[in-house]
Amino acid sequence: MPQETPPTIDPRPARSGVVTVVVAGDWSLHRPHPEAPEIAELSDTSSVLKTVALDTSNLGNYDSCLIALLVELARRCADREVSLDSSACPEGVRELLKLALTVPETITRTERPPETFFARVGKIGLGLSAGVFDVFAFLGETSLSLGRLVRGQALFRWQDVWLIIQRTGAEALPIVTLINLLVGMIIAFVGVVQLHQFGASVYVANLVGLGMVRELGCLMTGIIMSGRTGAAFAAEIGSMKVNQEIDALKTLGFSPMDFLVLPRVIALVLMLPLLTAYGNVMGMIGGGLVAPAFDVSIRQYVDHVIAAVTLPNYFAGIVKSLFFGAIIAGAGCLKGLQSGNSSAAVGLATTSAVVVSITTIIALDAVFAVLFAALGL
Amino acid sequence: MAPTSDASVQIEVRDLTMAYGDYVVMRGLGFQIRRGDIFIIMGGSGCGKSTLMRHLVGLEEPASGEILHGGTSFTHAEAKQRRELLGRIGVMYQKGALWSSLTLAENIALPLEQYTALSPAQIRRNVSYKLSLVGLGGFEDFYPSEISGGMNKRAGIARAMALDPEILFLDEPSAGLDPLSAARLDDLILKLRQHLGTTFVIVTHELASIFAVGTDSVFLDARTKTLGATGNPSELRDHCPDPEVRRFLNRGQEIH
Repeated sequence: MPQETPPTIDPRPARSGVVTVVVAGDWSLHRPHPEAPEIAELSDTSSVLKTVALDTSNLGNYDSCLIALLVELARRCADREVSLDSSACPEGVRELLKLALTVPETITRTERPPETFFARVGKIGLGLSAGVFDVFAFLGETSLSLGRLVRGQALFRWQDVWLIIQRTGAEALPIVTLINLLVGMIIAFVGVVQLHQFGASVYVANLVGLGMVRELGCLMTGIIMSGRTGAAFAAEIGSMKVNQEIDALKTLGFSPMDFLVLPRVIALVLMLPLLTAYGNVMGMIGGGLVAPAFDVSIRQYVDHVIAAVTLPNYFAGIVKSLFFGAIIAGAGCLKGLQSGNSSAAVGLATTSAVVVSITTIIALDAVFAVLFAALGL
Repeated sequence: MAPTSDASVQIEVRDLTMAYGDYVVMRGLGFQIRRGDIFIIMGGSGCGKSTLMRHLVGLEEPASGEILHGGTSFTHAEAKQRRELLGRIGVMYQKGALWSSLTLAENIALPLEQYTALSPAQIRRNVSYKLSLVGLGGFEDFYPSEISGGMNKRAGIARAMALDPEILFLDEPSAGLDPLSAARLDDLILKLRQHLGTTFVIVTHELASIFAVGTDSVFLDARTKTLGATGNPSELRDHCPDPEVRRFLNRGQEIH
């Protein structure tokens, strides 16, 4: 193998107004190489630089890195109205150089001036108000769609509803069981340790029972379903949008609201209360597993739970979960429909669906807490 | 309702400006698509061909101007009337856009179930027929993800044809197909027009297809942001006064 010579590029003044740039050695993308000389440094003071001539008599192997460098040199020459003489170069170099320099620049690349602070604030403000408008528009469209459902005019497939019910209901049971059972146990542990000091261990039943049915059961189930189902809705509808499946629905006369959003809202509004009712029981069972360790018999625990958890208390959680179901399904579908047309946009839509539904659920739960207190429930 | 003088005109575009927000894509478009035409929308990449098709099928609203379907204004139509007008067209999207949660048969059956009173057996028969027309007989129970991209496109055409539309819009039907499949597709288009009398509106820049099937065309010019030329593609190639159009249709080689 022949020895590689390091790449060099050196300007040498030749005649007056002409500078020869000697390019020599082996040029490769995979090895360091020198930079093109600045045109301003080439011209000596005595005469005006007119021509830069390339001398490649000692050039070894070269690849695209040399051409890229020569293109830059040619552009610099053009900027200063200096001509570049490449006639002495190998034919390959000349052809590649010509090809790069004859490609037309992009026709209209409008330079955007940097945004001022106020422009940015304004844009954020407009974006926020547009976001709020979208939410109300979506609520309105969903109501219209529900109206069509009542009148029997909504175009969608009941098979879809059953399938989504199965996915969001039955298939969510294991995780709802696990989380609520654990939450019940955690509340029982934390509570019973405190209550034990006062000899009131048995009231752990009231703590767990009321805590689960009023707040934790519906909240935990809602949060689980936001992550599990709300995200799935957004991702599914978002990818349908990327794949133009939504356009296909529209041109065949199916309203995406009826065909996609309605089945999902119906399914989740039906399923979330059922899951919550189930989750509440799981939480109370979880508490019951902990209680015997602190001298509370199962019998006592059950008696106290039954006494503490009255029907209004139980329904407080269930009513909340109806709203939570609508929020999770709505946020998932809205974010999916708003998704942009790229895979990254689907990811953003999914993230935003989960964030929005969890935030809204917790905010609404706070509103309910105030409301129930005011009503004396 | 503004009646057009000529009954053979199926779609008319009057002084259409297309824009996304402030960004004008094309302005001052005006042309007619006649019954039985294979109408080509052509132009360089990114010039707004697909955008024009989205306007023609009502997925985008014109910034100004008007689109008429069969002499009836589509732009100013009420929702119900618009749905009726849409019932006469079928659209095949670039990647097929089949509903990925349904099998090929279910994809084609869905519009039939919604808009016709056919029995399930009749629907099944129609679906099989449509699939065999595009060379996909026997693929009824496959999901879109289980077949190739080219097959997805053809299934997309089958779905677009489900309700026997008067006008079929095809967005880049032969892009990404091998030459033989592309030629078969051109053949299919010609046969469908001949035997079912379907009008085609095709967005494409595949020259072979353009000359093989096109009877009329518009050339969208990205530089002037308006119509470069209209007419039969073969005639445009040889006689268009605009050198840019001739260059496009001759793959950049100017003939003298």
